[in-house]
Amino acid sequence: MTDAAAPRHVVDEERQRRWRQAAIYAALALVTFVMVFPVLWMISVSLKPTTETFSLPPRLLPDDLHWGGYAKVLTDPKFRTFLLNSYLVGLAVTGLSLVIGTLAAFGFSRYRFFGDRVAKLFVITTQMVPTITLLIPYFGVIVFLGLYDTLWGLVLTYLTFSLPYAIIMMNGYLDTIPKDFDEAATIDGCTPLGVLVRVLLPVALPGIISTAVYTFLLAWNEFLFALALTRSMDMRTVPVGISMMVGEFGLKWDEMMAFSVIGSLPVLILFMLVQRFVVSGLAAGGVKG
Amino acid sequence: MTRHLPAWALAAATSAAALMPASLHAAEIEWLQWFAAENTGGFYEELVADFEAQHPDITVKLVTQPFGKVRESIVTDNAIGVGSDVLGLNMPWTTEFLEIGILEPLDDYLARDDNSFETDQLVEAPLGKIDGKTWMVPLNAFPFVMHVNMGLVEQAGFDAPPSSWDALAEQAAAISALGDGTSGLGMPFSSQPPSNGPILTFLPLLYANGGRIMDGTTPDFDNPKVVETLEFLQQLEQSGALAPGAASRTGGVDLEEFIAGRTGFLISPGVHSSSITSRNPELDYTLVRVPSNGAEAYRVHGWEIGISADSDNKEAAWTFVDYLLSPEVNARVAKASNALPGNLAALDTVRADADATLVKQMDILSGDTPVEEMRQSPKAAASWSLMTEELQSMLRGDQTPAEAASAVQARWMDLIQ
Repeated sequence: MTDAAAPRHVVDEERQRRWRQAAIYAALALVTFVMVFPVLWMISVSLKPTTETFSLPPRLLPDDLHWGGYAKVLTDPKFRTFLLNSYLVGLAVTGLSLVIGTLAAFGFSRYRFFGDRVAKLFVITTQMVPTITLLIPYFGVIVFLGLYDTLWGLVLTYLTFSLPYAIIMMNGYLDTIPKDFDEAATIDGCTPLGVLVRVLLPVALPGIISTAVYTFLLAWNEFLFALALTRSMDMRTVPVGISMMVGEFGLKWDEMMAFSVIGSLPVLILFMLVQRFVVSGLAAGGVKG
Repeated sequence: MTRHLPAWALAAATSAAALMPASLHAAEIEWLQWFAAENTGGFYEELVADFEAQHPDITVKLVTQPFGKVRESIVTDNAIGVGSDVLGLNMPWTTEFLEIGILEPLDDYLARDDNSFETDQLVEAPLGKIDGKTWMVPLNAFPFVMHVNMGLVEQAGFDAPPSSWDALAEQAAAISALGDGTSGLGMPFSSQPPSNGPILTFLPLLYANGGRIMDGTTPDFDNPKVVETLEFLQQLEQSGALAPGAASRTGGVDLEEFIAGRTGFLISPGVHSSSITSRNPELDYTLVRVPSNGAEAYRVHGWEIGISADSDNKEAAWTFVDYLLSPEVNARVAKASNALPGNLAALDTVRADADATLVKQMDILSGDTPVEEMRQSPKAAASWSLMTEELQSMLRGDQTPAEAASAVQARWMDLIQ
């Protein structure tokens, strides 16, 4: 009835709109599948006995759930140490990046000083150096500082990667907050630090959270430097622990995937909790108001 | 408390500590290896604790890296000056490490009268001299064998595993013809480290053909025996006997597919037998000598140990190496890794309560000739990368076996020069 009553061009537009929507949903479903399938496969392999891992045709759901990999990983104190180390390093890098990055971003956003543009450019260019080329120099510096095979060595190293991002991100976000806020707070008697802490930071919360998530992810997932800068089992992190399961003569698939699942959980939960802030923080940090 | 002590007492105490004989200080040595990552049962931690109990003046820090990163770690640590004292070694790394000067020659240590082992009882392959010196000793040894899925062999209509190349080709093709995703034999020629495809599968077949890839310390890859072995691989590929996807297949995948019962044969170190039997007890499994084409020789691999040239505690490092090679300890190491001992004086102890597959390895290989060429190969690690590339190209049909052999030889010589 409605179609018959509506003018022809309106019906065509409605059809086109539905087709467009269907195409968008199909594309989104495909992209989601590509993104999610490896994670589903990781969970699937973690719950399969080795003999089923390579069975043909491949099956996502195992015949019987096999919890051996999880049991092994959860009862071995070594793996608990890897998890604890990753948490400690991740939290330390996140905390320090936020404090130092926010203060630096505040300076760049609110003050003009000699060399500020060059300094900002320098911060950005540090992100352009391939990290692999820094391995040997960092190795030397960390050894020189007596921080080799310590978690502080890792924290210091990761800070050099996360800080430029934190500064750029927070600077972008602070730039979107009108300076009128600062002036009003200053008139009311706030010191510059008071302006930052009492006025700007509450408004910049999404930016802070997205920066925190990024820096935590960076520290949590990093492998190359964690492997090179530590040597004791007591200092290893989750990615290095997973790599230890790739042996000379084979892989412990179920244990490796079980530990990968356990290692991914904190990040997944964290992201699910704060994704609303992360999206808005990233979007706002990307424009200058 | 300290601030109430007279200054002279502090000075005296400090001087006394400084003047104490070195032997009274506990020497701390590091042992960099990947063995503890392969054996997660805490065996190596217990071994170190046992050593420290016997030698209270030495402490050992166990530094464990994943196998794929050990070589880089040894080189990098050495460059920065934080190298470990005792090093777990793989024979193919030898010439590269000697070029950098990482290893300490062991001849003087081996010549001592008070060692807990006899040098002539050690597995010979790692001891051969390079530049007139011995650089490593064997912790254990893994002879290469062929693992057999007897269930698939019987389904394909055969009673016994193959012992010759012709029988291998026939049985492997028949198993592939069974369908249902089964293949006769896997060839792990992936370029992804630590795949090591050619040295895992091609070399054992070449040695069973009486061939070699080296003439002394010079590459000799384009000789007729190598070409003949490559032709055999090509024949296997063309008859459908090989598992599909050789170019992306790693040694790990090869093993997993055998464990899953998808391939009839697996050429790899005998040490895999424990993984196979423990992870798929249902498999109708046995192991045999790598099928021969006229020669009774096998590729021997193992875990070697050496001492860093830059170590400040070489004496303590040797004390630890000596402990590891003593018959009683070496037998324990061999059992833990389900391998043959590096010290053959431990053989009887290992045999006494070895499982059936280990006893079979000892029996199969007792009369054959062990071969290891990668230890003295120049640029060994890089050489098997280019072998991988040229063999992939041959299996794709882009070049003949003779052309592949010539290409490897030419590129290897370029690499050295």
